[in-house]
Amino acid sequence: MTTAGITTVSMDCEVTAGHFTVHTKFSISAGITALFGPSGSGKSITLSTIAGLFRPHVGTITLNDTVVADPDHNVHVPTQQRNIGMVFQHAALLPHRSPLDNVAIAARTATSHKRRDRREIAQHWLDRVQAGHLAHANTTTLSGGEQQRVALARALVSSPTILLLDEPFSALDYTTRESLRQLVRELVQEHSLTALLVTHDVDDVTHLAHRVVTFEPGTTRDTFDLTDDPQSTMRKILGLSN
Amino acid sequence: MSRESPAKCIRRWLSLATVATTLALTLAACGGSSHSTPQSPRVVVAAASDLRPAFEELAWQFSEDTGINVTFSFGSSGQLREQIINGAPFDVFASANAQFVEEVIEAGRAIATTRTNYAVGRIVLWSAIPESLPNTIEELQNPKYTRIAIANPTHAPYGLAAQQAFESSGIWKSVQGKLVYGENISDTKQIIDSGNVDVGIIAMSLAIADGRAYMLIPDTLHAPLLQAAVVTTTGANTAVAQQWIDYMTSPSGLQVMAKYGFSQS
Amino acid sequence: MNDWFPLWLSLRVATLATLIAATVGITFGYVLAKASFRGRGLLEAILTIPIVLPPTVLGYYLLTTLGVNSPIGRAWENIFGSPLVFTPTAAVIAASVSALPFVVRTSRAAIEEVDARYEAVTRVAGYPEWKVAFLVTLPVARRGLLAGVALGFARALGDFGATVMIAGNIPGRTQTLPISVYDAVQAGDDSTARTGSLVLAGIAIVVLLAVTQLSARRI
Repeated sequence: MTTAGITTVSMDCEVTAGHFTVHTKFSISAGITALFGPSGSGKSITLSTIAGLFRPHVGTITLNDTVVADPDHNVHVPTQQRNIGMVFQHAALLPHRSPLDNVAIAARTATSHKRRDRREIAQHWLDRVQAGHLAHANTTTLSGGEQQRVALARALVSSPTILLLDEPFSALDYTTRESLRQLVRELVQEHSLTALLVTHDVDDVTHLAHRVVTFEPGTTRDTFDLTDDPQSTMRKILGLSN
Repeated sequence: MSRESPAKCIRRWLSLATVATTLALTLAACGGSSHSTPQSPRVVVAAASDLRPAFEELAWQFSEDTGINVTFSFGSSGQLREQIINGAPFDVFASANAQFVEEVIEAGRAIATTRTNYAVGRIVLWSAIPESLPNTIEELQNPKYTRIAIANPTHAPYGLAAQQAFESSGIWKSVQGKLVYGENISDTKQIIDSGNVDVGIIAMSLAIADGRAYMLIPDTLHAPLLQAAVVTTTGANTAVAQQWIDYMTSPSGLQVMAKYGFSQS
Repeated sequence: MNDWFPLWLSLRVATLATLIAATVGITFGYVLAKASFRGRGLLEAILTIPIVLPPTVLGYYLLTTLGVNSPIGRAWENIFGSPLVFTPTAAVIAASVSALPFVVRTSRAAIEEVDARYEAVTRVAGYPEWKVAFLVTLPVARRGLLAGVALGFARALGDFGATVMIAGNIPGRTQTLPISVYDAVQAGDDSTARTGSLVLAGIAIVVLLAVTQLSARRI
């Protein structure tokens, strides 16, 4: 049963990128779901497939009762229409535009197309992620933490229902990671987002996630609930994979 | 917001300004850039390279006498033939051999009745260093001549004549490996002049214009270089074109031609 | 050198040819970098041919394809009243074709270098592919693109063999600067040849330096 504003993500498909094939099967809804597993098991590919940047060759992907991918029936909703926000490990901010413009560009689908309105909305989001003072800074000289804040603002400015985070904190130092985790937690709660977080950092999972989908090379394994005692659940999970 | 030093900033804008200025100048020149005024009558003559010195002198006299300006496009007869067949807007085609003129007429690009044999060309041995000039063509077999320049026999009539002269003298096999080809007869002369080859065969007219020593090659050794000219159908000035041909073959015209070694037979 | 017509003609021809080569070349470079289709390798090979062919041969093929005996040439003549060949327009075509491969190859390389994630986030933000290209791909690749266009300009400016075949060596009409230098050499006019060569080299150097300066930013 889905409550208003909560998006479900269901995957049961196979994706091939290059020489690598990933088989994914899981179904999640509100809150933060961690995709956890060793490097190279296909977590990032899974995320990109949900975003529509890769196409599965068999199976289906359903976002909130809408089938967005079904190769057997020739269904592929393009990335542009899936209403998602995405944050990468190294932000990928457009180097030739200011932080404000980076966010404003992403505000396209939000409301009006007028540049001034988009910039206003962008500034509002930058303020929300505590990067308002960086609106006109030189994008290429921002620190890692600052870049990720701007990236978060960019991901959320068009009010998506799904937030995809691909190892967003792994390049940051401990304190920055902590404060950014806090920020993500707040944002997910404020806007009732469904978030998927790819990580191989156990702390990310225990501090942030409500559930975890475990990966082994080339496939998903299980889904675990983390609402009570995430620490021991994770210990168990890690013990299982040894 | 730029963090560059002022000097770098200035340099960048200077470069932008340079490019912009070049563009502006270029487009400004877009207007009338044709050299000759449309009012004054003119004739465009496509001529084989060996005719350059003779024709340039003729042209000066011609425009004095008739008031018509002559524009030349010198090149290898074969290439000019190709261009005329494909519509090049020349008024007169003066070739270094008759065959190319025939082909142009056959292709419907020239008026057959205007065809004139205006001269017979001759080939000569020539060198940048007159001392190394051989006395006869057979001497070219001598190993002291390591490289010999001729015009390309496939499309330059003077080059073909050179090849024929080698063959008739029975030395073609021994000199073939030493040959360097020029694109046309002027090109060939340039090659010899540069000193990069020891000796070569060029048109007599060019040797005469140059002034240095040359050795005439007997005309029995090659097919006659019958130089023909014709009025084309592709030019814009057909009326005055005939005047040029007439001038070429007039007594004063022939005198100039003779000065450059062009005989009538 | 007292006749400056060849210089003005060359500047005009080279600028127009570069604009054409840049537009067509960057488009092809983009397609080759992004799309994957069966004939891709073949297409790139065909676009590279003008570099490989001797310029005179290229000019010959252009002449037979666009000349008065060809369907294209005749159609042109019907529309415009005079032939396409042996006009300054033909010179622009010859220079464009010669410059095109340089722009295509450098553009393709520059566009392939653009981090795919920049494009991905822009797609995620809802922009259609063509907008992604103009908003992200081309701006991020601009240094490589500019270098390719500069190279194309230098090539267009210096073209000789193809131009002389399809546009002819007609003084005052289609005689570009490289052709006039060659003509001067043939005529033994060393001073004109020298001046013309220096001017050509000078222009190329100035433009290439300007492009280097424009590209030397701290990004």
